[in-house]
Amino acid sequence: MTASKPSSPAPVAARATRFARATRRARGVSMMETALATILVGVSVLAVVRLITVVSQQNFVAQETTTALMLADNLREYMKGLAYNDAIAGNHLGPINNAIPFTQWTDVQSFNGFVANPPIDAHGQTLANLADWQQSVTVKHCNPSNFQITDSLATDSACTVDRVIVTVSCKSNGSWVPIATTEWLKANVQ
Amino acid sequence: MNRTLINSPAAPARPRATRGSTLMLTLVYILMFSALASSMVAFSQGNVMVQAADTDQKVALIAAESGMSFFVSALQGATTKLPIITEGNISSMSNTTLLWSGTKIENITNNNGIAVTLASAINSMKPWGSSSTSATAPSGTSPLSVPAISIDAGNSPASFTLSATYDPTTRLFTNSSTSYVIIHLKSIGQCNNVSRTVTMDVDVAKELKYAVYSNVAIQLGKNVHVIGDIASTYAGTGKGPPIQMFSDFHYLTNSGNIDSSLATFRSLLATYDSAHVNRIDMSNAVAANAAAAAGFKDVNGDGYIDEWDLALQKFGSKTDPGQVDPYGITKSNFTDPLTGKPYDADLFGLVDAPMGPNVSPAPWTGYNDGVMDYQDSTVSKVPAKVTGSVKLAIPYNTWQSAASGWTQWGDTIGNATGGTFNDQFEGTIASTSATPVQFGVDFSGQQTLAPQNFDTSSYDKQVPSASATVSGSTVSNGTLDATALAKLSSTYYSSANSSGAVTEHSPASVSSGWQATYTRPLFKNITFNNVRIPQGLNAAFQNCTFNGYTSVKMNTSINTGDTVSTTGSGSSKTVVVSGGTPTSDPSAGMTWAQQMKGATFSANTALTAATSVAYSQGNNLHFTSCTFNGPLTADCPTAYTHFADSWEFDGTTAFNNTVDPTVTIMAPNTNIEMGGFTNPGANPSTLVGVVVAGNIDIRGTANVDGSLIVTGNGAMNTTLGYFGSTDQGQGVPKPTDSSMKNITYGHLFFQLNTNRSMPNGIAIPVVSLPQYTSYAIND
Repeated sequence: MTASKPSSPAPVAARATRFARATRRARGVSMMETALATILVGVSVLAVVRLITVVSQQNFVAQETTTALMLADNLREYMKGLAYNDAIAGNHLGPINNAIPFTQWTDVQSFNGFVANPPIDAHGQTLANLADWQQSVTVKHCNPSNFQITDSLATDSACTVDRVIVTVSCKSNGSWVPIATTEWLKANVQ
Repeated sequence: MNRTLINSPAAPARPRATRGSTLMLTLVYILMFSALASSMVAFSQGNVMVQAADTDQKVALIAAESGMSFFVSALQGATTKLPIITEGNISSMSNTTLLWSGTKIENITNNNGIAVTLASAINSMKPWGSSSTSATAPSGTSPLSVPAISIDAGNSPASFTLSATYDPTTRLFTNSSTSYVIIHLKSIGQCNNVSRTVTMDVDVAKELKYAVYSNVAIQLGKNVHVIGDIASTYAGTGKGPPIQMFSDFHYLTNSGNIDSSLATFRSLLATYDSAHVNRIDMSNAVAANAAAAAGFKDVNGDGYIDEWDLALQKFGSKTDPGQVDPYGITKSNFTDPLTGKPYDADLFGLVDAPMGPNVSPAPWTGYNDGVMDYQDSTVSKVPAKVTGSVKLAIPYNTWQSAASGWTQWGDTIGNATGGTFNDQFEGTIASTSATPVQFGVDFSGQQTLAPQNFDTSSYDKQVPSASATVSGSTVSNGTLDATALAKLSSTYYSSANSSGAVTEHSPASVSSGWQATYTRPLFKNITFNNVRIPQGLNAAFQNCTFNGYTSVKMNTSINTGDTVSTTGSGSSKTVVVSGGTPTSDPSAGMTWAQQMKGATFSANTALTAATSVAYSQGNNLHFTSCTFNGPLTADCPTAYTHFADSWEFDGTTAFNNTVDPTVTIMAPNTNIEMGGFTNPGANPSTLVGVVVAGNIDIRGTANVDGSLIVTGNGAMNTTLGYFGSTDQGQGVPKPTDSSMKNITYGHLFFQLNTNRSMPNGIAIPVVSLPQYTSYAIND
């Protein structure tokens, strides 16, 4: 039954040759397509991976900044109710008595040089779960005759406005990296 | 069959059908990846933008709040001299716009409106650095605008812009006769393109800030309570502690070891009370442990151990079960078990009913309910010695250095040395201020009260200038001059030259240390209605009643280098002075007073008009068992003369001023001794409004419903209340003296009353009162 078919070998061979040629061509196109597709997909994936990295970093920075600002705000809130300067010593910078814990400091100027690690919340309570963070405070007297200049004398009684700068840092590879800085004015208000 | 189909000639068509599908799929994937990536980017950027905007908002708000703090500070600062007015109330001003934008108000140089002085003060701070930007003082009632100020130029993107709007409409404080105007403050904080606004109102009124103000040392003795701030401008060390305070819980007989407990407590305070409020803060674990080790407890649970806790521990019981602070001291608790008498009825009265038992309606729940407890202090829940802040000009270190030399004024009870700050400054300070006790205060930027700030002429004008009319025992409407005196019968009046005259020391009731001796005309059992007591009368008044206004005249020009001579002859001979240079020096005032003509001054020799400058030019008066139903005012000499201008009130003298509630006594350079030295609890009085004296000692029982102002700077100190042995030089008996067995210590209650408007004639600046409850964050 099947022997009768090869009775016309030429057309069949030609068709077979065409088919084989066509198949080879198709095979080549697929490979090209696949190669191109691979390149495109690869580039896309790489770009997306890169994008994810960047976006993740951005999000991470945003998260860190939010945390840092929250910690800076904590300190600002904590110091809000404190007096401008010491009732007895008057103007000063830094703690009057280092033996007294910061929770008993009564004025903002005592906080110059203050570093909290772990950081504290708005009530002065330690935030132990944020041990990789720290808050540091710098208080500067505004020069009474040129507000934009820092007064060089810590005990200058003429100063009535201070610049309070809180820097929040995060530990990275063993060293503290500043994440956010908040700055405000504390004036001597009765 | 499939093989056949595969091998069939039609089979090659299939690759054509699948050609490009992989690429298509890839492109679809890429599209999907791109869409995903785009959304991730958008999402992430959104996050970042939200975070950045949130940051900017926070920074803008912080800038706005910083601006408001800066603005209020500038308003209250030393360089912003708020305008001085002589009217007692802002509503009495003919033009309240002057308060905002006026210049040379009251014809005083540099006495400018608030906007003018505020703009000047801000400009002097150069908030714009080296820039030429400045704030311009407005005219009329226009707002004051302050250009944008950077929080920290070059380091911060934040800035704030300030404006103040004046509302000249006068209003009255609730339940008060004091009027005020409003300044609306606005601070706009800016960070990048975000802005936030905070607003707050500041009321401006003419009112005194202090319950007690003194230019000399102040002594607050046993059973003296002050509600309101205390100001001591005396920064020297030559007069003892600028503010000496003595515990109320001393001299309680048969009360066990409370004196020792107080001494132990003081030693703890010296170590642990860095705020000098005479309280141990229980949040300081070390201090709390030390207090516990000494046997002290925070009985009322307010977070502090103070004298009140010691008293509750000693005498208290649960008088109000179920309350947060159930402890109190009943009258039976406070009874000496051996004598059956109260330990100190005056102290009980001071805490439970300081304004007397007959006040209606009761000023607070629990008033005069027979229990000393938390209800008797509406502010602090503790019956404190001072409920308010204490401001001292003296630096703390100066006090510390001088304290060992002040044992004369220090408490030595309970074997204390008396030479420490805590021995000299006893009693609880209860204050809501961040700085309850403030040392080294520069009063130049605050209300300062010197004799020259007072003008009493408006009170003198209330009395007709003619001679007073006399009808029997009633003298009315005029000057108590020779014409009027001639009409008084000898039943009521004895001249200084008659046998009925009174010769006595000044002060009369001291056993030592008097400053002069006077021979006085005597007035007895007379009713005076609106009278003027002329210069040089130096009278003694006994059982007299003074209705309406009483004005006392004296030489107002105390000079150095003046010429002393006499005029007249016989009984009308009198010393006169001329020339010289006016002085305000109290030492020169004493020298002036001791000048004599034809005699030598001696504190033991009776002065007369014919020989003494003090007698002829001053007015040294002695009131015994008199009643004052109206204000008593005096001229204002340039200097404190110690005894030439000096008044003494004793016996059962009482003040019940119903004529002018703004002032009971205004005698800016007159020395006043009020209350008996031998029976401090004998003279119950209510002094309403302001009480102004060059110097004043008050003993007895008195309620000052207003402010006590001591303007002089020449006296040693102002003694308020009973000190016992440390006051012996003034003839005060010791608690153990037999004379004290049947008498009491008295009590003094000073309460700042800002609901009462000030009297006219006190030239002091208006005050700015930030209304923190009006603070609002807008936008």
